[in-house]
Amino acid sequence: MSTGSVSTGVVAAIPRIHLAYWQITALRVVILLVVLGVVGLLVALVLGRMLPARAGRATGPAEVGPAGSLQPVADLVKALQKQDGATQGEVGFVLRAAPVTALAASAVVAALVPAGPRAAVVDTSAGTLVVVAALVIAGTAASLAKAIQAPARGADGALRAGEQVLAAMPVLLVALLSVTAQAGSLSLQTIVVAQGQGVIGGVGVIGLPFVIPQILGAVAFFVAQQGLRGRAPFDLPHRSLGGGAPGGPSLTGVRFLLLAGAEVAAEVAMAGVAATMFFGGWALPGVGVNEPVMDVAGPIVLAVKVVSLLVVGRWLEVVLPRVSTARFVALAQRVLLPMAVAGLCFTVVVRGLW
Amino acid sequence: MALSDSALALAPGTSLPLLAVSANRSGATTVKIPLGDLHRGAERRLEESTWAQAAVTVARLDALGSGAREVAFALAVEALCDAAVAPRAVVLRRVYLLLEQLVATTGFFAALTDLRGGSALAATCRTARELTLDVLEAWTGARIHHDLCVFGGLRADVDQAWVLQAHDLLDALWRWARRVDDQLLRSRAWQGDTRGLAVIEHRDALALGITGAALRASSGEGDDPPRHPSGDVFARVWVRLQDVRWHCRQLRRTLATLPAGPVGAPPPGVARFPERVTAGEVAVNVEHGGGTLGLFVVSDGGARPWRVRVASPSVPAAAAAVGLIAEAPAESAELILLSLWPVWGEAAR
Repeated sequence: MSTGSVSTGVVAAIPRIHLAYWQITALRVVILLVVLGVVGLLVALVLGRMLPARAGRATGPAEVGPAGSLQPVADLVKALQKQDGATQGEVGFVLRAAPVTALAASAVVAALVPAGPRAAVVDTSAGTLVVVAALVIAGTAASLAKAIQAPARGADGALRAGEQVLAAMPVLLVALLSVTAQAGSLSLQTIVVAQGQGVIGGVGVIGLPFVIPQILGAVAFFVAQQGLRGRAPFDLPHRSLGGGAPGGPSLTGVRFLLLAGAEVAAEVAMAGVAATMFFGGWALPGVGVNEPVMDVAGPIVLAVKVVSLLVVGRWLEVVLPRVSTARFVALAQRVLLPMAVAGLCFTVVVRGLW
Repeated sequence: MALSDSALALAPGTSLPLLAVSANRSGATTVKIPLGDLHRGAERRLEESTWAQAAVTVARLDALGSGAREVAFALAVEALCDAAVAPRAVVLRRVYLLLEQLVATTGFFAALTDLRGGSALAATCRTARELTLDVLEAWTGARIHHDLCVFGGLRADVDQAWVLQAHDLLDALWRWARRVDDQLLRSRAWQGDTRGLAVIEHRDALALGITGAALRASSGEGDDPPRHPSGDVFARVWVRLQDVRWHCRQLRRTLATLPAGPVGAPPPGVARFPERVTAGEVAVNVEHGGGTLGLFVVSDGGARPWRVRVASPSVPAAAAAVGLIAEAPAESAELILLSLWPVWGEAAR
């Protein structure tokens, strides 16, 4: 018995339940939020605490739960006990709104990224454009809020974080447009299928992950999104040698935790989009995209790819020396953007010829 | 200028000064170091202490350079009393100062790489510092304030096993310095950001009274001690890294010439410093991580120092930082300040 027929049998054994449209939508949203919450907690724990601790030769979380695994829960409980001392006024409004905005935008990305042949919460023909907009909003909100409340940084940090956002945005847009030009569609599901059904030199064993033909765009996307989110090695707007002067804008308690969560959400969203656009998304090498097994395997394949990209990103954050804002802006304008444009031109010309 | 009005307020830790940087609408930048914030009347306190108490208090002005101030005070009191120091203690005091400079320099790179390097490299810097502190602790029993110096010698000696441990440390520091060199100083991003930034000409450095690595960063070329001609942030950091290698070489040579004999440790129950010190005045200079530390001590023959003045190398370093930061991009403020490495507790005393 093939794996596909097992999957089909399992699906067939489930009694058919007829749900109204609003019920299906509500169910999808609940599943999405639960999955995002669990993944976010795992990423926050493993990539946010354990990996940097190991890189810094520290123990990392070890007190709460087995091997410190319940540390995020402890963080949440602690944050809930804190008074809300968030900064008021206009800056305070921006600060308070930023985490919610970033989380909402990341949720939009998660809803658009397909996890299987039939596992897209929303599959729209303009998916790529919405994804670009949501990614930029998520990354910008998280980065600016972090810069505003970074110790000793204040307006200076926020201005420089903004500079990085402006420099990175066109790179992201052009790099993703190049992918859509190759796939001939703005739909993310179509882009995944195009990669799964593609061939390299007449051989279709691993499909055609767009990272191969779109290597320029992929590199540009990866570097630019780090700068847009203000992550190392482009995190100088958020860095300082120590505590700042008292009275600076800040978030406290749950709001602070929300900002940390928003940062993780933006990171996962970026990795999800990169996995989908450049690494074949839920498609598995050697297995056809129409195989029923992909309904089950697709989300796992996508998760493995996303986590792999997250680990690579975090590893680079740990080992690379930091780069000033001016240098990142110059890099984005003089190297990354021309790279992405060259990739787009190459794609358009090749598709025009063949 | 109130701190709350500042566009950028930097408080880079306990050992570095608080900086307030603001820019007005015409773009002019003002930099201020609120010196008064940390004034603690430390020199006055020294004059109200007994000689034994002052020997401890002077070391505690700041964690950085603690041993140098301790040695300087012991040298000053010994000079006033015209006392001889045990030959083995003389050499071991040099070992002590060199190890302390290595602690300061590895700490400097820990702060620098935490700001501009990757966290993996910062971890190696912290490890290098901890290894150095391990060796000091194996000798003195303490990690930060060692209270090692006594009148005419040291309170603790080293044995052959400790010397071997020290040699292992020097091997490890040599490898660590190469890693910092490869991963930070030779990187294009670092060189691009720091070459030509915040240049202090040699004549200006001399006029300001800057000493140590920051002075040698604009003093031509050479490696004994390390020098660099350019006087910019890159040069100051580069010289500090070469200092690690230089101090390692010096430490090996010093340990090889360690004479046998006592270190002048006082018997149990005997005070570490005399109750009264011969009247007179003396000025002592000692090198520490921040540069040349000057200590001026006056005795009237009584039970307490009549005057104690600390000439910290951090004061000219902080003064230079104010002007340099005002002329540089705001995001370089911390880097410029760090490259001058003022020891704040010692300067704002």
